Amino acid sequence: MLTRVSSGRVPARGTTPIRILLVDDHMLLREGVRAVVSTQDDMEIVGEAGGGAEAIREFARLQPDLVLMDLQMADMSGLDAITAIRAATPNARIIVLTTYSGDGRAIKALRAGAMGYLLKASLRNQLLEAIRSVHHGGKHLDASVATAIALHVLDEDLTEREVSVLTLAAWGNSNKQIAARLALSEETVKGHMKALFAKLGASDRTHAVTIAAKRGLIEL
Amino acid sequence: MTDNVSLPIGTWRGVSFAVAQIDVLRAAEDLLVVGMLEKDVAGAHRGGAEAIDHALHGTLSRLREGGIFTGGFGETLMLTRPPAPIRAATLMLIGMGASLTGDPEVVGALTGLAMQAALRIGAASVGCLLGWSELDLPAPLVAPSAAAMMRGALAAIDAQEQQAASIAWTFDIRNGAAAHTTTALREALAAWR
Repeated sequence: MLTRVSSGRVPARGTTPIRILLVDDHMLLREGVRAVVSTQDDMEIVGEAGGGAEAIREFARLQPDLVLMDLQMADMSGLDAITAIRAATPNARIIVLTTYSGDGRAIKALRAGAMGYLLKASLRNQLLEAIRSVHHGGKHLDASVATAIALHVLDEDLTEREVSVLTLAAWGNSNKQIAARLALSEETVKGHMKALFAKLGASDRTHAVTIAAKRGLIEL
Repeated sequence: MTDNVSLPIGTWRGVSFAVAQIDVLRAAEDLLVVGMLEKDVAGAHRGGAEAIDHALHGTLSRLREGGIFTGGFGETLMLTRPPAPIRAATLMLIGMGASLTGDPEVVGALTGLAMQAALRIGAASVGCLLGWSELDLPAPLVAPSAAAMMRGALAAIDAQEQQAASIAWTFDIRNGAAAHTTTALREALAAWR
């Protein structure tokens, strides 16, 4: 006699639960995700971490099947943690679970090796689908993020120097002040600004900062 | 939702199969499976994939061009909550590799991947648009390809430990060989029983 499982989903033969490491610096978020996962027969939270450094340690200790990773954490960014985990374990499966919908962080996370990118506003079922898809080797994106990525994935990346210049501009520095802080000439800073305007499609420095912040290209 | 002409195939362990030409913009399926090559082939059909890509203003092409989804054989990308005008709840892209080989077993393997995904996410309705069903297949290849698709789907179903929830599964056919394909699918299902 064939029967349905309690979660309404059908496990493949011989499978064991997906072992998940949950990384987020907000305990309430972790408790919420744990509550969702605990209703499923085919997955379990085997560990939690409240920061990037702890995530790297816990990944090495627990060797989970999959990591749910926040991006913005106090001690180390999720992006750096993803890079470190994937450097040590190239086949590590990581899903970003974040509030950021901009393409900049998503593209960086995917290029660093994340296989999924979900927003914290996602529905419960989307999270569960993503966990199962990524565990089976697929990629999983929120379509709104995919659309944002598609709009800009072929754009020329901002250079590290351009990001530094724009970040300083965002904090109210003039070109002269930026030049002094970065040990550049003012003319060079103006050149970077011109390149930034072109890459971002911005009309002025305020517009450039707004676009870059919204897309997650600079951290404020 | 599919076009008016939906040809029933039969049922296996809770999965009801049919053949129809799927309207990708009207389809409100839980899951739409779309095959994509690594690169478009000049003059080749892109069928359902092209319609979806057009509706999404080139999103699929640009994801591929940007390396987010390469189209490599067996690669999958799930896109949840696609924007209007797409009405399906989830899009699943399946990489078909560098070219359409016309090898029936390759078709079967990718259909199996699609079925596994449908079972995993608990989809109740699925539209399957893999490139082969859109080709002007040589007549001798139509039946073997259809049979391989069905076997791939059935094998994925049988790999599950327990009864699948009810799924309405539609194979998209737009190569004018729906009647021939339907017969082959039915025969493959009958042979599996």
